[in-house]
Amino acid sequence: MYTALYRKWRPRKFEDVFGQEHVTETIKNEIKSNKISHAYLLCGTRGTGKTSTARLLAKAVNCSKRVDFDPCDSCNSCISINEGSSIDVIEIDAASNRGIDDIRNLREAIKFTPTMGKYKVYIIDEVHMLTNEAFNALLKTLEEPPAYVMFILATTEPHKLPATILSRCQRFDFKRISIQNIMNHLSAICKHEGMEAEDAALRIIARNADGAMRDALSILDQCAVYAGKNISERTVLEVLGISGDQHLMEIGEAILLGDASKSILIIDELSDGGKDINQFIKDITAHYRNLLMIKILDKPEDVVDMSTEGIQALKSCAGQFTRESIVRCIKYLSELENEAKWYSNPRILLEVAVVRMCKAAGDDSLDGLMTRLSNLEKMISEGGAAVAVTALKAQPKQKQSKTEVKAAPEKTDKNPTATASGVVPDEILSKWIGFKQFLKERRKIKLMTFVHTAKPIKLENNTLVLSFEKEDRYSKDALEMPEIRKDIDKEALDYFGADIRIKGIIANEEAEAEAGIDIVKAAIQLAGQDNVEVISEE
Amino acid sequence: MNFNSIIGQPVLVGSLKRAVQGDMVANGYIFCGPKGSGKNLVAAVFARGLNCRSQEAEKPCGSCTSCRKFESGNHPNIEVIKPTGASIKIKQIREVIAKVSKKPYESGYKVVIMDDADKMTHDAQDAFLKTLEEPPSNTIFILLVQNHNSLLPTVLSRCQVFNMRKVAIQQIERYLLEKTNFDKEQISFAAVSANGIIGRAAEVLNNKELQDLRRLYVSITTKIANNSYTELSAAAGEIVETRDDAEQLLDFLLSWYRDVLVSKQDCDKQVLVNSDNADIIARQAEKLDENKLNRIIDAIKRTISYINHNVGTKNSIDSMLLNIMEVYNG
Repeated sequence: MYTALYRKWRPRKFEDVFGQEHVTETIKNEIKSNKISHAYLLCGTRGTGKTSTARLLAKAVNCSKRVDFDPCDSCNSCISINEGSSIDVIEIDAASNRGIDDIRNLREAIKFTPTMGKYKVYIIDEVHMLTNEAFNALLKTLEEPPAYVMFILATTEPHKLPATILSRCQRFDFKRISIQNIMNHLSAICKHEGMEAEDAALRIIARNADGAMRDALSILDQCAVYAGKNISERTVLEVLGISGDQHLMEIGEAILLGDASKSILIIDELSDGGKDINQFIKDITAHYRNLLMIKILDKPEDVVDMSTEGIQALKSCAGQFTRESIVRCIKYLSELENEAKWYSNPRILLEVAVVRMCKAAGDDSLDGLMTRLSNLEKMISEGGAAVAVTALKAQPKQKQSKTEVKAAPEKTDKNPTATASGVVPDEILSKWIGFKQFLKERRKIKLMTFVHTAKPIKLENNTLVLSFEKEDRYSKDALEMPEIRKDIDKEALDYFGADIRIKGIIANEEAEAEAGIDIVKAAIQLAGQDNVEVISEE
Repeated sequence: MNFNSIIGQPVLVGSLKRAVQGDMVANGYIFCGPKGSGKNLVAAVFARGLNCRSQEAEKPCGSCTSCRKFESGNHPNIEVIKPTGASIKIKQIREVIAKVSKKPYESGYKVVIMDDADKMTHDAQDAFLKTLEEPPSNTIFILLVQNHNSLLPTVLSRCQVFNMRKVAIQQIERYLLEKTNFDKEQISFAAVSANGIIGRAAEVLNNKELQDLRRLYVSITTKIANNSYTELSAAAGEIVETRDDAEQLLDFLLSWYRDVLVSKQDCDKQVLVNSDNADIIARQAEKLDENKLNRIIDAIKRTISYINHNVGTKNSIDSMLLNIMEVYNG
């Protein structure tokens, strides 16, 4: 019967566990010096060799004819472990047997000494899935098991284990396997299996495996089933449904040049070819990342995983564009990557984003500037609101220093500005900004929130008139409340150095107020006698 | 039913055929694709092929005892798991593990097909890992998912993952012309609205209402253009009853305004999703600059995420349409 490559090629020796020398060397030395611990915890991402190492260790401690501290794979003990029929090595799937009762059973069985080998080994895989009670039931046994018992816990998610478990184990962290390591292993396997594989093909597989050997072997398996003994770059691209470097180069350049129609045509072609759009988004992001690395590093070969020709091609491309424009594209794409996962049709999102990127890249062009200018004009013509908001936003630039701002009020005291027209004098505005800043520094956040949206209208007879939006009536009313009144008057006195009264009005009623009409009268006129209730301030 | 009845999936069909013929069967497969893309069909054909007894004919032959049992729906070697309620729970996985640990009732492969496998809970997936990686001999698992992002990386890495490809419009047309008696116009309409999913094309053809629905969708965009909110709201209220309705409408609107955006980039007419309405799109494109389009598209995306987060559908759609109209005519 056929077995998947990743099962067929499980490591048989410690040195076959690729890229984890820091783990395997330590374990070998422990065996050598006979300092085997009673509890191990193996953690790391998927496909890095945790379960394989656990089994190797279990075999090694029980093997009678060890070859250089590796299990021999030919003695009775090794064979029975390989077959899964050994009664000394018990592999437990903690994810499907995760309750306290399962652990109790384990504790019952632990009393019996091993029958064949020296150790009774419990491999508890996916240990993070044990329930809390199960973990606690295990604690005592894990700390002081009988001399002949050894626990090996394996998990991808060590952060889910309680600290009491972690502190009782020798912990080994498995690293992602480097692309070079994966490639070497793949080509060795290809040789054994009688397959011919191009280097470029193996590189793509390794890159897409994301540091996990099992993923790499799964993909290799898939390619072998699809294409037979000869695995070319094209096969791998087809099987994975991804696009080659050529496409990435083309679209990468088109976007940076702002050529939206070409970019869309490329996406169209890919999509009709059945490529996976989510994967494509990741690939372009990686492409731009490489481009960026090549642009800023002298020796990009260390961090960019590509063939020399590929790097050369990227170099000539990178020269044309600025660092900022590349970074901007990466920003757009990484946002898109998160978004696109949850849409049924990521292609449309990609296209929209690409059009945006193309236009953003053209910011410096006359067109881009014109659009922005016309937007600005429109905003200004729409009224003071927008202007005031922009002015407030520009506040940090306007404010020079604390002392200067403080000095300002004295000046105005001498010549109080009073303009009857609707235009807000700059002076009042800057003073207002200064006051808000002052409130902020004094941590009067509550007051801040009330006056935050208000616009100063005029300063007259020691009264600063603020205009509130209609929706913001609440803030205006709040200003009239006695305790807030008291508070804000005090702050105003401290800041302006004079007894300035702050008064709020609602924007629409401003005209009437200006004309000196009594607000109450105006309100009655507006809403009718019965609907107006006059509430005295005191 | 055999591998030839699967349209537009060359890599998938090629691989599975070889796996069946050359007996190179992995222990776990994931078929990933939207509803109507043919996942179930592929899984069924594959399961038949694996159990087919035919010596000469291409598997599945359709005439051996095994294939005939499949045909009548009582082959003992096949097990189909579906979500009970909203998800596939750890209890179901335990049952599966117990079942596969028994030998198959007949020679051949025991095939466990898990429909909507992306509905497995996190715990269920974890419980499945060990069995999925090293199942008893002659047992294979086929997981059918719509979105493989909801599966754990540890599950994905144990399986061969095949994405169902989108089928080109022309190919769908050709297939439908061959297999059905509808007239050319209807078929090309169905092929366009299917968005590369062959099952959806068939659904559109067989369902007169869906065709009308699409016309209503298009009329919504013209109502937006005409700036008549009362009509618009009434039309939307008629279409959108459930959350599914809303999702479909949003999908359509997204593709529509994408088309308007694309048609501004002087591209070929071919790249439009709604190429049957190219003239309306071009007209709307004249009135919208890219800034406005971006705002419209953002509004749609926002609404999609609202609805995913269980905000009331009718209100979200209403406020979105109002938003779009304001941007459009502002």
